[in-house]
Amino acid sequence: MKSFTSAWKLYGKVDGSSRSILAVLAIILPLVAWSAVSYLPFLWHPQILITDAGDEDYLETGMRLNRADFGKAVQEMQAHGQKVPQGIPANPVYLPSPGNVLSAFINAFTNPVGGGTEKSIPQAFWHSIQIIFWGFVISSAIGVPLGVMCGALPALARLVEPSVDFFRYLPAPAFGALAVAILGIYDAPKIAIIVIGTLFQQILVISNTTRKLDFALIEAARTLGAKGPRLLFRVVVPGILPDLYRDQRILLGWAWTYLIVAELIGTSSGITWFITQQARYQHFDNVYAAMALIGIAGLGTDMLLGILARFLFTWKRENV
Amino acid sequence: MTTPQEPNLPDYRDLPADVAARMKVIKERELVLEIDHLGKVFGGRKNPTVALEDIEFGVHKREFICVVGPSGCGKSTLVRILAGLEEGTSGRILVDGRPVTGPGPDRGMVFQKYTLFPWLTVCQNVMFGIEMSGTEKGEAQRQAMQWLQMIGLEQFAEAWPHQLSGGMQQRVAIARALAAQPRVLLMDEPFSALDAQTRLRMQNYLMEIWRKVDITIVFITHDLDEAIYLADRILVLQPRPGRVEEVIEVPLSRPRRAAQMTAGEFLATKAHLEALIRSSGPNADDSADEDVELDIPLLTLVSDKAE
Ligand SMILES: Nc1ncnc2c1ncn2[C@@H]1O[C@H](COP(=O)(O)OP(=O)(O)OP(=O)(O)O)[C@@H](O)[C@H]1O
Ligand SMILES: [Mg+2]
Repeated sequence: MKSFTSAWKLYGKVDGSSRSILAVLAIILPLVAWSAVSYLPFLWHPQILITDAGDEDYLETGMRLNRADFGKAVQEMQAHGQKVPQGIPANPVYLPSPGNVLSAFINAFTNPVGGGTEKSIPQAFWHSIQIIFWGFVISSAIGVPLGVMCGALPALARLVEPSVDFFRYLPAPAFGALAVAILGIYDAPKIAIIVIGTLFQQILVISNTTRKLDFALIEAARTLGAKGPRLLFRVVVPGILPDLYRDQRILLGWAWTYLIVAELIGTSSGITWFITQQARYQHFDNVYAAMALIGIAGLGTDMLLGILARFLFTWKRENV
Repeated sequence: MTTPQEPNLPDYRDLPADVAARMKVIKERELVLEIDHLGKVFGGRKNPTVALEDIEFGVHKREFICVVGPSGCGKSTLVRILAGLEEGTSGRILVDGRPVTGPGPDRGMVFQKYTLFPWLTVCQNVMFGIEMSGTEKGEAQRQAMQWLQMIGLEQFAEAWPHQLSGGMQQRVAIARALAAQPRVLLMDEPFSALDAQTRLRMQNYLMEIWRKVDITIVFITHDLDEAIYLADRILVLQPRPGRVEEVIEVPLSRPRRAAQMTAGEFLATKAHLEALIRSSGPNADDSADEDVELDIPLLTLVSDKAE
């Protein structure tokens, strides 16, 4: 308990047990808040879901009305001695309950075949993952070596970085039409958008990381006779590797943000297209289920990469 | 000014017979390192800083040279130019008669900062320089383990550098530099971050290694005791611009031990060095505050006058 209070001090210490308590709370607290708003009828619930239309013509079972409008209708009808409509307090359609979202989520996996041209959540998601994967792999294959070289070779940096800086400020969507014109309408332009969105940042971020390597280590290596490719591969690369790895984790998250653009060009596809469609039909439980899937997949990957880093970089003091 | 201030101290220039004989032998050896009219100017044409001016010095084989001087006199600049990490503005450096064009394995360096590669184990750090010379891994490892044995750290071969104390890290750094078999070992205040006891132990280690290995050492320090304790000759630099003020032959016999630090010759040399460095003080702005009268108001309520 003492350490739990110290975790609340500025730059305080957090020990193992309070760390796990906080981790569990981090997941539970938002869920509790969401459940409370969804299941406690006296919290928010600004609308009425009609269960019995009564004598009112324009009402139907399943319709949602604002409380005030509903109350007015009821008053008027009572005054006229008509049969009053019945309803229960409800939240707007864009806030489904956790239960609904969970069942949509489970349904997506137990009942995976979507109807007609519609794809199911897993199908759409798998397609998205492939786009991200190839986009990120291609971007990294160019961006990592180029970034490291820019960081280590001042001449190259001066040649390359100005134009990279120029392209970095062009929003990736601006390349959408161009990508489709050049690469066709299927997956190629989508991958290209991810590459364009990631690559330029990647070059700059990684060249910066490379430049930040402790120069004293380079000097020490030089006095030991290291130069050229040996200096690069025996000192620069291993020295920046943990930071490079962290950069890549951040950049992977970056790649995901370009997905929405990528999936709306050419033949629309993937998880973000699925979300757009479902939102149009007001199937917000599906929307939330798909969003949850993206979030869980993202968080899961990042946690996995974090754990992996601890095994890869045992020499880092902070990991020991 | 050059005479010792205390009458009962011997003249620092009187070398005992054994030391004089030793100096004679050393001076007959060939020059490993020659500093030839070296000058260094930092900054552009607008406000140049002359860090070094016309330095002229030769280091003989297996000699132990210490460089002292007030802060900012260009000691680090000198040793970095010797290492090839910085270029002189004028003059040149020769190692075994060949001009130096950049850093190279013939001049090892130990830095004030800890510069072991954190991603390599202690053994791999020592192997680094050996492997750079083209030796294959197995042989490099064998040699590295020998070096670790020599510095008494073989049980830490598989440890990461951050698991070692500062003194141990510097010992490994010395082994790493020596393992690459340089002609000259350059050291820029390598022990200045260590506490007094560890420093003395490191000095003894260094001299022990130096006795057993074919190495010439140029050692920068601002600690006069350290310079006298270690060196055959001491190069005294004066600041702004950095110039050789005097070269002192240390009148202490070898092997050295801590007891010599209270000997008359030691104290005489130290007194002279102090006078030299203080004399270059007044025109150095770092020490301009030396005779400022401090006017601090009484900030304590303690009324007994024990202080
Ligand atoms: N990179 C640089 N650019 C400009 N001036 C420099 C540079 N490096 C050193 N100097 C100047 O050169 C002079 C000598 O510096 P140097 O670091 O060699 O002194 P030092 O004798 O090692 O001092 P210390 O005992 O404090 O380590 C100083 O006046 C310093 O301001
Ligand atoms: Mg210095």
